Amino acid sequence: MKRREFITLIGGTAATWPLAARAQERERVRRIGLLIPARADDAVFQTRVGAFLQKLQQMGWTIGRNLRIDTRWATTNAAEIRRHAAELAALAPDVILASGASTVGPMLHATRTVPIVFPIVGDPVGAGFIDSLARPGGNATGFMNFEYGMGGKWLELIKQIAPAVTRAAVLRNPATPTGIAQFGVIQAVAPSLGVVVSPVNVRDAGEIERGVRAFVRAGKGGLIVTPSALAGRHRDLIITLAARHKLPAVYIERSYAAAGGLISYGPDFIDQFRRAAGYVDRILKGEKPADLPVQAPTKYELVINLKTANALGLTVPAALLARADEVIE
Amino acid sequence: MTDRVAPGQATVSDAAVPQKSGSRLFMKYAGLFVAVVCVALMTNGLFEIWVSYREHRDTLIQIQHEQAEAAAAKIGQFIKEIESQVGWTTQLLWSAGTIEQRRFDALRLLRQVPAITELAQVDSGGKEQLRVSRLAMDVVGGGLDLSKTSKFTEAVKNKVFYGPVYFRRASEPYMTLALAGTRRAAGVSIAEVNLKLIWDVVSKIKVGQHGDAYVVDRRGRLIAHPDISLVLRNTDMMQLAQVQAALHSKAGVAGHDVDTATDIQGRRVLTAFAPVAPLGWTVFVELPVNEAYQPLIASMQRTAMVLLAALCLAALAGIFLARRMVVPIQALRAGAARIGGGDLSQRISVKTGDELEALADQFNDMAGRLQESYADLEKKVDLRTQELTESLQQQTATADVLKVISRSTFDLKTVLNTLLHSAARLCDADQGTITQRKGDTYYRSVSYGFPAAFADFVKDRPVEPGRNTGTGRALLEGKVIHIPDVQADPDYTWKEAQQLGGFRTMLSVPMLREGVPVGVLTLTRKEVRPFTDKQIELVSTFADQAAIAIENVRLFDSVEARTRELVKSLEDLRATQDRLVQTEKLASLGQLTAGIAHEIKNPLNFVNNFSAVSVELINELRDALAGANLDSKQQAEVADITAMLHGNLDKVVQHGKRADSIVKNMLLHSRQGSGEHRPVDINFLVEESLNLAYHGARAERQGFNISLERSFDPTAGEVDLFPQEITRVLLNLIANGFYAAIRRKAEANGSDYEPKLAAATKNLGDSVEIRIRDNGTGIPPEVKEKMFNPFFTTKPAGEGTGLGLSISHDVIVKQHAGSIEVVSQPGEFTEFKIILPRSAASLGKSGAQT
Repeated sequence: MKRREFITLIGGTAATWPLAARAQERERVRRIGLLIPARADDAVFQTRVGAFLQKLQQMGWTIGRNLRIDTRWATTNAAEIRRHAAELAALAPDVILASGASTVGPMLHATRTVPIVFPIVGDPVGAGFIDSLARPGGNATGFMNFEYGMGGKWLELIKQIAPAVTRAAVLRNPATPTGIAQFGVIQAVAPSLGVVVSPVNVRDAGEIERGVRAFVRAGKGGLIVTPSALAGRHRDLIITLAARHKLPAVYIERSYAAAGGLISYGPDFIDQFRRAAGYVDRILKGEKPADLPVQAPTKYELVINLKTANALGLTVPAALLARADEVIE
Repeated sequence: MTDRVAPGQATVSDAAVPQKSGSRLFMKYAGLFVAVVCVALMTNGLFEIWVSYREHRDTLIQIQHEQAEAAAAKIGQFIKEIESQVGWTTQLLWSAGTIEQRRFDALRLLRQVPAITELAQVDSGGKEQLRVSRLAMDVVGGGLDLSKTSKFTEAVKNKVFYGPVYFRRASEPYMTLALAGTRRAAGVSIAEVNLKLIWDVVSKIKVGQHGDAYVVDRRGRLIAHPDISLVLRNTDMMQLAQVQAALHSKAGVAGHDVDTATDIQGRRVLTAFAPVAPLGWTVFVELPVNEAYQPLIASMQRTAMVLLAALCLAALAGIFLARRMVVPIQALRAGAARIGGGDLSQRISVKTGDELEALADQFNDMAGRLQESYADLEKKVDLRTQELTESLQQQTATADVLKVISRSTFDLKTVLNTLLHSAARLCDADQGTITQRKGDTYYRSVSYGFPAAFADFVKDRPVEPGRNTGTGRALLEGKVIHIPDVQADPDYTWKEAQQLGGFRTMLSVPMLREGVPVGVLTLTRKEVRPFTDKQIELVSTFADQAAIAIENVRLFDSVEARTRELVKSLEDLRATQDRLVQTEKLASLGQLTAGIAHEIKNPLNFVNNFSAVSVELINELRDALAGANLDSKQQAEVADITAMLHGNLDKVVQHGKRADSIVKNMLLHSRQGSGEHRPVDINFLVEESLNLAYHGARAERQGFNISLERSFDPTAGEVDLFPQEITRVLLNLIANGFYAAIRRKAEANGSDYEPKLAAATKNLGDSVEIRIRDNGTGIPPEVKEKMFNPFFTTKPAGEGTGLGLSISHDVIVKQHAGSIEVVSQPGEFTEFKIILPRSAASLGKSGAQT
């Protein structure tokens, strides 16, 4: 008789094991919100968001099973962004991914409790999003996408690739402090390179066109496109204008160069999004955004579009080519 | 044979107990087996675990160390790589035309080595000639004087300089690496290395599954960690004990002990460290204790599983083996219980082919032999039981018979019948007789089982004591005669009886009283089958009972007769005693009366005499006074008084005379009788009394006449009586009759009334009747009642004493045991009837003892 009891015991234990295991899997479904300052048909952002989601999936978060995504394509309209930010905050997801200072600011206005991860923000400390890079405090953390020193670099690059340039138009978003600061930095180093810089606001397409047209009245001009959501919004327009007006332009990101921009120097934004996924994962697993330091990019890639260079009639110096991480032909 | 009582019960209770003890044995062995296996396995397991723990620990230690060393080497390698890359830039000697080349080299370096954020090239004088940066603008020929900086001086001195780790923007770890060229004139290349890129190296160092390797600088600041956020957060690792220990240990002495410590995330880890020597960094390799000992735990679990499985197997095996042993034992026990319980027919079946089987065979053997002996004993018991039953039956029968006998003790016929029947039945005899003594001869009085012809045949034939018949032989010899076959017995000659009765075996038992046969009890069987000793004994018992019964009856009868006689004599005695008493009473009364009369006679005489004298005196007085001188009044008074006196004295004399006559009568009546009683002819007595009375009455009274009638029974005969008393009685009665007749005549006064008195006698066999009848005045009923009372009389005063009838009654009834009756019709007749018993036996003694 005790044989049977024993076997029952063993069998019972074995049977309940997988049940216990499976029970664990029935965790609650997490919600994350995405606030993207672009239209839903923006291919570049689609790629970035796709990379983000893919990385999340790699880390075990499957949409539908234990994750729900609420993606808000908030365009670049500040009012829209604010509205979407409020809505997202009201939904109270577990984490919000807000790309760019244009979204992080309104998001922080909307909530001070929901963790916010920013995959790209220029100067979070300067913007007041965080206390310090090492310890952000608050409910926002994420990744910086440039350093102010890069402004000089861009100027340098323009000068290297198009030594004839003596004037540069800096396309910037005057609504954000970063935008203003970026211009300031470039302006500070411009004299050392013998370049005169002037700002162009990118609030809307019309402004860009007018600004660029006004700039090109005088010759020997170059473009420096500082990173902003608006710039991304009007990427094609800017590249077209640059091509039309034969302006050598330097951008922050590879996507510009790939789209026809001359040269880009900056971090890999897609990688930023992937890294942001890592942070989201950690926050979902319980870490606090206040404890996660804001990371600066580790790699900056230099991408040169030779086709555009040829179209502009520019010769890329060997040194620069040697330096380039990628050459688009 | 006590087991026969409740074998079933025994086995049930037996079964309950040994079930426990049976399974106790089972449990014992099974348990023992399991325990042994368990202990062995556990010991082995524990030993294994202990050994493997030690081994594992040692291996872990070794591995950790190697890993730490490897990690350190990798880190060192990383830096060395950078170093060697930077080394390329120190080859060109500084000269004016080389700046572009240098710049190209520097840019190429930047491209090659992502870790270098900035490269500065300083000439031999310590002046910065070229700076190429990723983040800042390139500077060519800046001329910054770095000759005093340690990075320059150290590099120049030692060919390489590893600067301390510093954090840009308090977040990014950087290190300055300065390398001097082989030639002094080559100057120094100073690179700012972004240590974030060590993250690639560090994160690739695999320390188990969840272990980490990290690098701290000589101050304990975290430089590299798989979790880069820890680095960027400026985590101070000095809080960890192992870091403290490592940094405080003497440089060069790499701690080879693997300690258990807590890591920065709070997990318990095994930690080993190794220095990255030239840099002054320490690489820590930490493996979570759980994971470290996972193999051990896994091994322990495996051992446990194996142990468990082995336990189960052992249990099963133990159970199996124990069963193999215990089942035969239980079979043996059950078999023994059965045998003990009395069931000897079953055999224990144990086929294990070992000692248990041998034991079972022994048991079976024993059971077989027990069975045999039981069977034997059973037979004996059966036999004995049979015998005892027989005895019991016989005893019971005897008791029954005795009961019957005791109940109907005096019905001898029934008793003997019962005896014979019972005896015959119990002894399994076909026929039987009882021969009884009748007077001087013996007759077969009771028979059983014989045909009527035989009964008639023997009814009137007396049994002669002799050898020719069984009964006769018994009578003759006075002991039990057992003839197995009468036809074979030469002395048995009563062939007719045998033919009639058809018997062959015969048993005659004499019924003895004080050794003398008073009868015989004979039992016969139709076939030749001798009686057993027991049966003979039984018959003897019955014969004794019969003898006793006969004797009892006889005694009883004689006792009865005697008792009857005694009762009769007692009654006679009592009657006689009464009469005697009566006579005594009468005698004493008579005596008394006589005495009184005598006594009174004297005073009476005096009274009479003196009264007479007094009368005469009064006469004289009168005469004397006549002569005296008295006046007429006085004379008249005197005459009155004397007349009164005279009259009174006359009365006194009269009454004195009366008293005198009473006394005389009393004396008369109390005269002592004749004394003796004798047979007297009753007619004569009556005649005499009649004459006496008649003549006496005539003498007493003139003109008395009465006719007398006599009717005497000539067969009256003699009666034994007291003649004088009877005479007196008769005289009394006759006198009374005379008196009544005379009175009636006086009342009739001239009518045709003839006074008559009749006397009659009659013979009544043993008694005689005397009747005295007068046709006088009769007796009224109220007088009849009282007439026999003493001193009751209807005669006027002075004529009767009232004693006559009373005394007559007493004489007749008490003295003679007779009876006296009176029949009367007032105014017609009176008849007295006296009955006297003839014999003397009923007479009381005469009262003649004075």
